[in-house]
Amino acid sequence: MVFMLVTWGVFCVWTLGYNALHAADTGFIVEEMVLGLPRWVFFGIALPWVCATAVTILFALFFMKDEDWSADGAEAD
Amino acid sequence: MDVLLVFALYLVVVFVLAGLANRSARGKSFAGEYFLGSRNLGVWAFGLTYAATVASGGTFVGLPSLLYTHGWAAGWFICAYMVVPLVAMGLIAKRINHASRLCGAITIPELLRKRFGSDGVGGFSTAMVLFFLFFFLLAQFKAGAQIMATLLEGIPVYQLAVMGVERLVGGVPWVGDAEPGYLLCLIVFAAAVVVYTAYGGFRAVVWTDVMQGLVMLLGTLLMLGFVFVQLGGFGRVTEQLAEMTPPEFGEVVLHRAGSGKQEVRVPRGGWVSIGNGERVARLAAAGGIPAGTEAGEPVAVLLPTTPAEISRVRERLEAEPWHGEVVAELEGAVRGYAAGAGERGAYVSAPGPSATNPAGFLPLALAFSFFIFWNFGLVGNPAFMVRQMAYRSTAVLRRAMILVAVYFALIYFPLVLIFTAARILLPGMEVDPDRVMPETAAILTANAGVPWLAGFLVAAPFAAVMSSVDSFLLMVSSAVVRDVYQQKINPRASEARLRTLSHAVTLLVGLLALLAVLHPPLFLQDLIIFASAGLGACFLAPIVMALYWPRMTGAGAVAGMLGGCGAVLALYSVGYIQNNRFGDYYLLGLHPFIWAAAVSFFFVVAVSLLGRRPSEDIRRTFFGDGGGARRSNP
Repeated sequence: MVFMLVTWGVFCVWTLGYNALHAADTGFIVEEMVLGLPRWVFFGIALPWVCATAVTILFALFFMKDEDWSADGAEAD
Repeated sequence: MDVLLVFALYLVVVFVLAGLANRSARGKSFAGEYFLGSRNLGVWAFGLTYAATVASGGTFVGLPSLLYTHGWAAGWFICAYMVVPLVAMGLIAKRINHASRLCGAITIPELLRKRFGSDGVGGFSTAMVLFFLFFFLLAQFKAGAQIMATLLEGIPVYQLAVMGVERLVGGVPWVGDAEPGYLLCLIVFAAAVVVYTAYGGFRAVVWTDVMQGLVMLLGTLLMLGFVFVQLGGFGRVTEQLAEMTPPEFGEVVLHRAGSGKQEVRVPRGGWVSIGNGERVARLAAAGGIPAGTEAGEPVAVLLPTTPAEISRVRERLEAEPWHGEVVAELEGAVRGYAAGAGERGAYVSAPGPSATNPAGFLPLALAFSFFIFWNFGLVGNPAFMVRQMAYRSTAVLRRAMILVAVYFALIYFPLVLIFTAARILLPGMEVDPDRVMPETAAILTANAGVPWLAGFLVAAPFAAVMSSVDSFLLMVSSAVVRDVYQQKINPRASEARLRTLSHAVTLLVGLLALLAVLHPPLFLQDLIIFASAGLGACFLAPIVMALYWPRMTGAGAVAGMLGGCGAVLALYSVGYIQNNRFGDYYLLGLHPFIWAAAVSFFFVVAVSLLGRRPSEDIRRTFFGDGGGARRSNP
């Protein structure tokens, strides 16, 4: 539970913090695009999305434990 | 016609899957199989049914309309989905599955009833599920009907059928006032989804979800490819968006331009030229000039302000049937956007343009609200919880989390790219923003020379809507049959009786939803967010605390649900009074869900601490002898 909440907090601070500082500028400059996206979209949305997906995959592969519930009376219907 | 065939083929596959599911269910316990698929879902079935249920009409109809209307700021609005698989599945999926197995619960109200040993808790939670899920159903029904109407628009058989419906229901109160094309599609959509859900139950819903999940993914990626090729890459899209300025609103009077005296009709969405042709306008309602007169009544219009958009519209004006017969004159003052009016760059920056909010579409406090809402609202939504009770083992859960994380990344971010770019393809869609998705699919495939493929692309949002509607229908049906009838009225009911009742309830709910959504609100997303906020605020605190906190009591659960529900309704009521239309009120800039969830958590804790400790038996059943969660880590 703590891991999920901390991870949520990290990505919340990243996207909100970065975008609060950089997304409001309407003076768009072509040279500042990254992979065809406005710079704030790349660093404030696309990149954290890739990282969040990677964290989820790593968590599921290496940190989440499998459990056997058959011993404590938990049954399927 | 090819479009219709592709779409019909898709529907046939859905019905075949429902038939197979029904056959596979034979010989199994009715309630466990019909409402929970015998708790035996594997990775693909669990992962894709979860993902497909989350990706609803909101994702494929409501979100595109927001991206179109507000630009990249709406990408920020939805980006919380980056952590949804980890947070929404990771927080409770293990515990809720384990707890429901321990007590044999099939539905969320049943789990709460057994967790607290209280029929009152079960009954109250059933009422909450029914109330908010009904709003969710309304939104999805509207989305399904609209997608279908757009897809079939130009097909002669469909137009004949629409005329037939118009004649049939004309003059019938409430029903006759609905737009006949929308009504026809609503009936077909409702009939299709109700029949396959009622017939196949949970397993049919899951199997069709898997198929629909794959259709959504493929459809999204195909559209992304079309956008990239047809608009010359995302850099070119961003450059063009950066030049755009928000449209204006006003009224025009249509004047006769030709020498004829007959009636001229211009449908809603029709384009007209203003004065000497410097400006163009799109009608927000049907307009025209009556026979024998020189001018019509004033009609509301949308006025594009970006030069490139205006010249693109001018090129297509000649193809309009009323071209040369009418010319429009502006009547009264023109009104601009409350935020972003006349600003180049408004669509590539935040908070994004807004027609009504001077602070823009997504001020920082609201962005924060939605980062909470999309994650924790999903945790608290019973329709998603029940899926987490249905997977086979924790190994399945781990792999499904990976599947959903990759799936969401491949669905949501491409949708943001596609529908921010849609402004360039389709000017003036603000008059009917919920049609952005199907219109975009139609224009992309037409430009690519493969118009029949529109049937498949539009099947993607249709799949999203169906995969959510079927889940919600089943949830409502289980609440009535399992939690009310079987628990309260007839505990010894035979399997045949439960089956008949389940089918009847599904049909009845479908019919009620159909009637209620004949005159829906403009923005689909409004209804979806209200229902999500209500469900999330009611169930987040009671369920999470019930799974993690042994000291929690049944009175605390009811107080939490009541507090969450009351706070959501209160803030929406204030929103209604303030705006004179259905909408939310952002106290201190935060979404109602945040306040309602906080109120709910407070009530759960306070009322539980004030009450007597739960019985030892219940504590031992759910948390083991040590008081910690029984062999189930998050």
